[in-house]
Amino acid sequence: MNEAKALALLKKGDEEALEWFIDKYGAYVGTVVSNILQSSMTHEDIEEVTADVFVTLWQSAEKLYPLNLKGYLSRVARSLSMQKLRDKATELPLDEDILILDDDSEFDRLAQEDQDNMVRNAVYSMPQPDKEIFLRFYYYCQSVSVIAKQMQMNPSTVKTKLKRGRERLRVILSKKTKGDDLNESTYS
Amino acid sequence: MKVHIHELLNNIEDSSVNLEEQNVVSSERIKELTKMKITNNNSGSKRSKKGAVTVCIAVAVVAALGAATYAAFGGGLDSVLFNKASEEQPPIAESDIKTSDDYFAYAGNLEYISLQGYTGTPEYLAAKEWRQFESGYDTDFKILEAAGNDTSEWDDKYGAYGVYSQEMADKVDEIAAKYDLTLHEGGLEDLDEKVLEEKFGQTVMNDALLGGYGYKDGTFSVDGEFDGYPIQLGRVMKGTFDTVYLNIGSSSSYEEWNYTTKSGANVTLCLSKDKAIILADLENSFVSVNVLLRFCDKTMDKAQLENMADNINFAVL
Repeated sequence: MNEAKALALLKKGDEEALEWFIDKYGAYVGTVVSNILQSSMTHEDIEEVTADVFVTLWQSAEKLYPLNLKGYLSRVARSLSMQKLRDKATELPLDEDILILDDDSEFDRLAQEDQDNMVRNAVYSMPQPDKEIFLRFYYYCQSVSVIAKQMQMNPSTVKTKLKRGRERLRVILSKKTKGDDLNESTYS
Repeated sequence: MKVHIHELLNNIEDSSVNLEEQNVVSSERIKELTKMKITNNNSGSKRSKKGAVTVCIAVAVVAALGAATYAAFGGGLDSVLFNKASEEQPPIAESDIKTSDDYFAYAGNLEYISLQGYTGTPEYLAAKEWRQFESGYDTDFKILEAAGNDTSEWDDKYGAYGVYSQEMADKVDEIAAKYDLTLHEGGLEDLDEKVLEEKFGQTVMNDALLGGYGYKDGTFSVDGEFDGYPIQLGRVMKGTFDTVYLNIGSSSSYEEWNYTTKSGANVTLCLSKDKAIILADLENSFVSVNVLLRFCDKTMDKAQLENMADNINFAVL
């Protein structure tokens, strides 16, 4: 079964299609959830949130396109995991990672969708391996040591690239004009 | 202005990072939990149900009205049905649902229609035969588990049919040959309104947002929105082997009528409180529109469904 066919069947309420998605993406979703909940939650919590991701897939299937379901699942897994942390009043990981944008930045006045597009473009315009390091750290909530090990890099190099990524993001989001070309942003 | 980087990324979808997957959860445990949660949601909220059509006293009244209309109507849902619910297994009442197995038995008792053509056409017969084969094949998923999730030798030729064994591939070929149909080949194409307009020379549906996939032979399926209603519009080319079907709940809950659109296309319109359906048997294709009423806050009346049909450019389909 391929993904488009499985989604088509899922839209019709097919149980086997749901199981197919769990077989295909269960480990991936579980990994994303586990990364974010880390040691602050029990194994049962990780299972609960992972199952919630597939319940969301089941309930939302009729509105999904078969284009980037893995990306969709990553967003849902991340969102539900973050919510779980909030529900349990657990401190979000790396809560000190705040960006201070320029006061005259347009970002705050943009609609949510435009803000999301701006952030997406900013992150995806980062050069590699900076982009992957940034996503691993801030999106998947992996620690510096885990990133360093998995990307076979020195931890201090990972930290340096994270710092550069944060600064790049801050500069881009501090732009004054909505229509500025993000690729023209300086990279310090 | 202060922004939290984690919050900034809340609405981003990423699949670019190749995470090292850990076996932190068991697939079987997640399946079990997911089904339990779906069952619990099902008993708590009708809107969140998947594929379920309410079988209750209120609908029984509608069904009684629908049955009268139905008996006098030819060429409607009865002409595309794959199954009548009561023929396959006794109905399970919604109130009897206690476990996930009950829920799926209940969902499995729903009626399904062909999106390929009317009863007796080669396209309908082929889809029905495949459905019968598929429903009895690998019921314990052992073959699927052995096949794994990696790409297979059958993906290119049989990608549209969910084939994961030589036996399934042989069955696809057997059915296609039996009914003299061609397979959907050439892989999926991503479609949006712009691509569709380029292909057809004009919009497929006025004022609609559409996106989905299609095959080289012209068969396609797109999801979208028209006038605030979520829709799924599909076209299956005649002479092709297509297997996608649609869950309609209970055919007796629909009011059905024939309608000629302003552009002159003859269509069948079907309306229930959960779903509306447009069917058009055209010269070269069979077109269906599934309006997902239970996923929006608007109701629909007959005039609104007729207006939707008027805005589909059947001449290019």
